[in-house]
Order: sequence, then structure tokens, then C-alpha cells
Amino acid sequence: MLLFSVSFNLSAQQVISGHISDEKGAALPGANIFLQGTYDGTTCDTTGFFRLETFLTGKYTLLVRYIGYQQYLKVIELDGSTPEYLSIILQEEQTGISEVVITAGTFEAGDRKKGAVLSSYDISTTAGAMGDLAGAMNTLPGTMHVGEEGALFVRGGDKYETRTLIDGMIVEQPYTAKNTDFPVRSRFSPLLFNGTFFSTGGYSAEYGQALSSVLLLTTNTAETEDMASIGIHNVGAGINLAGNRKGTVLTSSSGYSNLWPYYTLFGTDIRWDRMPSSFDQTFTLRRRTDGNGMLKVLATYNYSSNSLYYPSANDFLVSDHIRLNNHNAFIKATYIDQLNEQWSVKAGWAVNMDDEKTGINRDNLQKSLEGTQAKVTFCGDVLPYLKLRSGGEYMLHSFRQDYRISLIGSHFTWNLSEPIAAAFTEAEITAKEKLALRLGARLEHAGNPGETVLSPRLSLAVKTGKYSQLSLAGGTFCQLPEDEYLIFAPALKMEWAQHLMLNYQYDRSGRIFRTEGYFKNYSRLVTFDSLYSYMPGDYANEGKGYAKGIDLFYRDKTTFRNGDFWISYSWIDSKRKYHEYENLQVPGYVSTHNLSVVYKQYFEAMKSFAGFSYSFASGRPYKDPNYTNGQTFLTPCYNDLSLNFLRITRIAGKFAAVHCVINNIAGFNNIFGYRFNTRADENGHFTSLPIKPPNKRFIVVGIVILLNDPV
Amino acid sequence: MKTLIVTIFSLAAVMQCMAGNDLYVSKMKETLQAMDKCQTLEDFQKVANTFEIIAQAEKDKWLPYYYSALTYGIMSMQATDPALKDKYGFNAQDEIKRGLEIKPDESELYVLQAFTCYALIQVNPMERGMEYMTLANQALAKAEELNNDNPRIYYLRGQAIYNMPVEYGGGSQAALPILKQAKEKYDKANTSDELFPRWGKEDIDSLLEQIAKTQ
Repeated sequence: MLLFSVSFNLSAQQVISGHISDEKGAALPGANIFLQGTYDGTTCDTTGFFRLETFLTGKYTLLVRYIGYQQYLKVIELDGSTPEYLSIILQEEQTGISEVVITAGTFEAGDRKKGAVLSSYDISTTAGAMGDLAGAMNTLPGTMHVGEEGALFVRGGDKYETRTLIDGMIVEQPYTAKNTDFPVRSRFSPLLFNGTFFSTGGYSAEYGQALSSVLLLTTNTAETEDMASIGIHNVGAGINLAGNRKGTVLTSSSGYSNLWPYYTLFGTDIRWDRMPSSFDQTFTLRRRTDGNGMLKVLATYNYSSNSLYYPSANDFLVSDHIRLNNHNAFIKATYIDQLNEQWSVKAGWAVNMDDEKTGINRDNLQKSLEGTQAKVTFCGDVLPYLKLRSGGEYMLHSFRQDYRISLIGSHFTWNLSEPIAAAFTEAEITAKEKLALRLGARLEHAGNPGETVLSPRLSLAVKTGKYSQLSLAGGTFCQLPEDEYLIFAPALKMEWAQHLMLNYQYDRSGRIFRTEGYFKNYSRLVTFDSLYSYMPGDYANEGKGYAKGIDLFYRDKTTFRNGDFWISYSWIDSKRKYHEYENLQVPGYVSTHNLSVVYKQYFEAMKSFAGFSYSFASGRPYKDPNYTNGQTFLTPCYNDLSLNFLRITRIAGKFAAVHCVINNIAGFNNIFGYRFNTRADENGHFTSLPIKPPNKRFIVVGIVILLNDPV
Repeated sequence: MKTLIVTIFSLAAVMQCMAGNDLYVSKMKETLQAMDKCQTLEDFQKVANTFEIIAQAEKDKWLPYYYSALTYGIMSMQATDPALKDKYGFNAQDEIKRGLEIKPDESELYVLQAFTCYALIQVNPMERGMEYMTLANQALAKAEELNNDNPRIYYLRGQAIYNMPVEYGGGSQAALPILKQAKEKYDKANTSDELFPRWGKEDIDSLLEQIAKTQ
């Protein structure tokens, strides 16, 4: 028997040996090598060598598998004679970590998304943001801190130049209604979204009517269990419900906030008549249809109101009584489905409604907005290296402004109805995971000026090393002027911007470094003689401007155990001639240097989490009417240090999260600018009041209780 | 003559089949024994590879996929580098999917699904906790629905509670009834199939012993 087996061995055993490495020549220990359909196989040793012994004869397929790499196949003839030696090189999978991604101008957030820089969880736990989406984005480079506004200002662009889109549909009023010198907040909770894509320029041809930036939000798709939670904090309360019935997920979240208890307890410098209060209700529905279809609906309604006494513009000693009431609704439905193996379709429909009433003493100003958008996009994986994306959209935007002046007993109404139609197409070519090229164009027609604009776009990414890549993006972008000018001069043309940016990114085991240099050119910006002119002839598209700068970003999840931090720095040089500016000048919202540091630490044993954020912005320019030579002054620098803390605990047998946020804990006296009296006093001097944050320091303490048990 | 030939042929076929099945059983047993001795990630990788080879040789068997997934799940638990944890954990989930294609109503595969979720939570507890706890609970509920005699359901549940701090409703006292339930189910478990999953029994015994000692 022994003899037989030895002789059998000698006659029929064959050895296949070799070495397995990646494209760079590094050994891949642990790779699995076997003959398909048989038990004969082996594992690569620590130096990448393998030795496979087999008694089989005939034609077999040798398979090599290793996680994260493409499977290797080779047909071999086993005839018992020549020993085989193979040098095998495995290629990384297309979806591998080192896939080349176009990163110029983009910050992507999402849990398992490639190229993701922040996750949706990061957004909701950034200390200084206080749960505000725009506030969290403001810790990324390319943004400028404008404390009295609260909205996003990107790379020398005014606030209206950044557009917010939910599942590809435009949100016309993404921020809460604004009262004089009070910062706004995002209307949407960051928890509604599992994907956030913040582009500071050079974005895809799919997005139009945005001059500087797009913030793309993707609503949740994850399965959830039935869930109910209530939250109570010192400025309000909320209820969240989620239900799952046979694949249909329905969620509801309601919230009410009122600053009365806070201001009563801590006091306020502002003379409130009625303290700010708001009510929010959001419903979402998602349903997987047969096959791969997915329907997602979001409907949200928000009401906010406040009223206060504010120093009058032409005499600080008397106060104006200012009242603000705002109703806002946004509804969108999107449906995505796979048409066949190559093509998928995405269809969307959205309605925006906003009604804002501002009362100043006995006068009333009402602004009503309605917008409808329909959009369809086709995406196709035409070839392994070629992706196509084409589509079209139609938007009808109407705006009405009604001004009632009680003193003369009359009222004025302006109406605007603006149809916009657009088509876009884009091709993305990837070559061997080393190079990605995206070429696109967008054709946009605006009804009132009766003009059609073609905007070409280009992005390119090249891998420069195992962990690094270089990316370039550019294109032209157009956007209709703001409603408040269009109602007086509807024939105003679209404003134009050209972007060009070069980005370098190094991404290795939890550390990301990126830097981006950019140049932007603006033309056809709206100009006018006086802010209050309602004569169409006073408005023109004669403005221009530029912005150039450098952004730096470093994120590190590795150095500190359970700790995570990022640092953003932006330098900008931007000037423009627009609105009532007489010549090229630095706009009032631009600060040359912006810095943010965000740190978060998770304490595993205590099931708690603490973090801080520090923000700095250099002074912003302002003019003092007491100096008639047009001299520009700078406001003091802006500083903020915020802390947050969260602890998971159990209350009355239920899971609960206790959270606390304190902003401006160091008590910096921030001044955002000055309001000058429109009339000089008896000495010919224009007095001024500093514009300060409504609350020097703000504290939110609250608790969220999960009513059902998760375990 | 004709019957004789038919008989011989069918006998040969039966023998071949038996030999084939023997090879499967012996190879599985051998690999399971190797698995017991594994300590390092390299050891586990070898075992996972062997299970993968068996799985592709025996296309109609779910157990090789199950054990390949279990090995990758353990590797995900054992690895310290978050990227590796993810790599092994998601690969384990892919293997479970393949197993479920062969046996869609196998309670054990759903238990394993929950196990991989616990491993993946460790990568980022704050960020993934909610989503993956939900997925793990759904998987365990499904496993219970398919076979409520499966002791590993209660083992995983009990251990999750045991590892949770007392002030969150965890700890040994809260876990004890579930761990005892698991113990009962382990004792009752009918293990006629020697390849069928058995893991957890020793852990439960030592865990219960430890709780008894501290009291």
C-alpha cells in the first residue's frame, strides 16, 4: 500500500508553484489559490509564494482570490510532466479604496462612500454647528464665516450663489426666515440625510442655477425598525416616529421651539415683543418597489415667528417695531429604477412654497414664493470604462411682493413668473483606475430675458501614487439674479461665473490631507444705482469680479484612539463690482483668512462623547460714512470656541441620550460689523451701533429618550 | 446480464457518491479542527481559504459558506486596524449571502449575520451603533422566527447585554436569564450532524461559572 502510494506520487503528482503580488510588486500573503471545482488549493505564504500539489490530470482552471482584488483565472493543462511556475499580478477591484475619484471642489459625506471626508454623523456632532447643517459645512475650507447671516458663503460668492438640493431637487429657501442682523439656520435636520455632497466649485452639468456652490443632500435609504423617541431641551421639544410595514418606511418628526424660557432665565440684550418660536413637521416615505425601484417622498412644513423693537435706521434713540411671520413648505418625490443592465432612470418632482410677512411699525411687506420643478435623469454604464448621464428639467418659479404703506394708505404689488428649461449631458471615462475624465455640457433657457446659455464643464483626476491623486475641474456656471431685483427688472440676464481649480489629495489609513487652489471669474453681475429703486432701467448686468485662493484640509481619525479631528484653513482674495458698488472692492462678507479646528473624542467605557470646535475669521471690510474719502476699515477678528457633550444612559428603563452644547464658551466679544445712522447728528457725525451675535453665549441642554427598546 | 451491468453501474455511482461525500465530510472535519487551533489572523485566513475552496467544489452545500463567513467574522472581531475590520466583516456578509442563496431559511446564517454586525459596529460605535444594532436585532429576530431552538440566538443576545454597562441595563444580572435560556437550548440541542455549528456552548458554561463565582 505504501509502495503503491509512493509510486503513484512519483508518476502523477504535479506541482504548481509561483508568486502573487499586486501591481506595485508587493506580496499578497493570504491569497487563495485553487483549481476550480476541486478540493485542491493552497494559501500564499507571508512572502507571497505558494506551492500547490495535485494528483489531477487534464484541463483545469486555476483561480486566485484575495479580498479587495479582482479574481485571477488561468486555464492550465495538467499532464504530469512539467512543473508550472507562475508569477501572478492581481489588480485591485474597481470599488477598491484607491479608486480614482474626482475630488476637485467636492467634499463628500456618507458612511461607506469612497472619497467621503465627513459622515452624516460628523455633521450632527460638530460642536460649533449646534446641529445646523450649514454650520457644520462652515467648518470646511472654501467657506467664509459671516456671523450675522448664518448662511453658507463660498469662495467669494454671495449667499444666494450656493444652492441646496435634496435628492437632486432644488430647495428654494433652505434657511429659516431672516430678521435684521439675526443669523439663519438650515430648515432641515442633518439626520434626514445619509449622504451630503458639498461642492465648492466645478460641479457636474446636472446642476444649474448655482453660481458658486451646491450642497447636495441625499435622504436616508436604510431599513429601520419601528421606533419612537421624544426629545426635550431648554429651548423646545420634539417627537420622532418611524414605522416599517412590508418594506414601506414612514417617518414623522415634529418639533416646537421657543426661546422664551431661555431668555427669561439668562436675560437678553434684545427688546423682544414676542420671542422667537417655531414649529416644524417633516414626513418621509420610502418604498422599494418590485425589482430595484425606490420611491422616496419628503414633505416638510415650517412656521416661525417673532417680533421685537430694533433701533431705527435714521434715529437710534427711537425703535422700530419689527414683526416676522414665515410659512414654508417643501415637498418632493423622487423615483429611481433600473431600466435594464446598463441604464437607470431617476425622475423627480418638487414644490416649494414660502410666505414671509414682515411688519415694520405700521407698514407691511409680504413676499410669496412658489416653485415647481420636474426633472428626469438617465444614467448608463455603457462600457466598463464609460458612464453616461443625461437629462432635462423644467422649473417654474413665481414670486410676488406686496408692500402696504399705512401712512399714505396704499399698497404696491410686483409679480414675477420665471420659467427655466434645461438639458444636460455628461460622459465619464475611467482608464485603468489611474485616470478619470468627466466632460459635460448644460444648456439652459430662461424665459423672461429670453436667453439660452451653454455651460461646458470638465473634471479630470489622475492618480499620482498609491495614496495620492491630482484633480482638476473647471467650467462655466450661470444663475438668474435674485428675486428682489428680478421683480423690478425681469429682463435681467443670467449672471456668469467661470471656475478653475486644481486639487491634490493624500489619503492613507484614516488620514486625509488635501489642498486646492482656485481661480474664479465673475461677469454680468447685477448692478443698480440705489438699493430701493424700482425702475427697471436702473438695473443692469454690468458687474464683474474675481476670486482666487487656497484651501487646506487635514483630517485624522487614526492618531488618537477613538479620537478624530479636522483642520480647515482658507485664504481668499476676492473683489467685485456689483449691486451699488462704484468700483471693484472686497465685498462685506469676505474675510481673507478662515480657520476651523474640530475635535471629537469617544469614550467607550462611559458610552459618551465630547468634542470642541474652534473657528477664526479675519476682519471683514466696512465703510464709515464719517470718512468721505471712501476709506475701508476692517471689523475685529471673529473667534469662537464651542464644546459639546453627549452621554448614552438609561432613564426609567429606556435608552436615553443626554446632550449639551455650549457655544462661545470663552466669551469672545464678536462684532460682525456696524450699523451707521443714516442721518448725521448736530455735529455732522454719523453715530454707529455694533452688530453683535443675538446671544453672546448660547447653551443647549437636552435629552432624547428612545421609547422602544433597541435590544 | 443487463441487470447485472445496471446493478454494477448504479453501485459504482452510489460508491462514488459516498466517496465524494466522505471527502466533503473529512475535509470539513479536518478544517474545523484546524479552526479550533487558530490564533493569528494568518491562521484564520488559511482556514477561511480552505472553506472557500470547499464551497466552490460543493456547490449545493451551505455549511462551507457558513464557516467561511464565521472565520471572516472572527477575523473582523480580532483585527485592530479599522480598514481590515471592515474588509473582513463585509466579506463575511458576502459569504452569508451566498449561503442564503443555497438555504434561504437557515436560522444559523441569520445568527451569523448578527455576529458580523457586532464586529462592524466596533469600527465606529457612535456612527454605526444605531444602524447596525437595528440590523443585528432584525437578523436575530429572523433567526428566532426560523428556529427558536437555536441556542446561538440567545447566546449572542445574552452576551450583548452582559457586555453592556450596568447603568444602561446591561451587566451579568440582566444577562443571566437569557444566558440560562441559551444554556438550556444548548443542552437540548440535537447534534446528530457532526458538521453542524456547535460554537458557543463552552463560552456559555464558562460565562455562567464566572457569574456564579462573583455572586
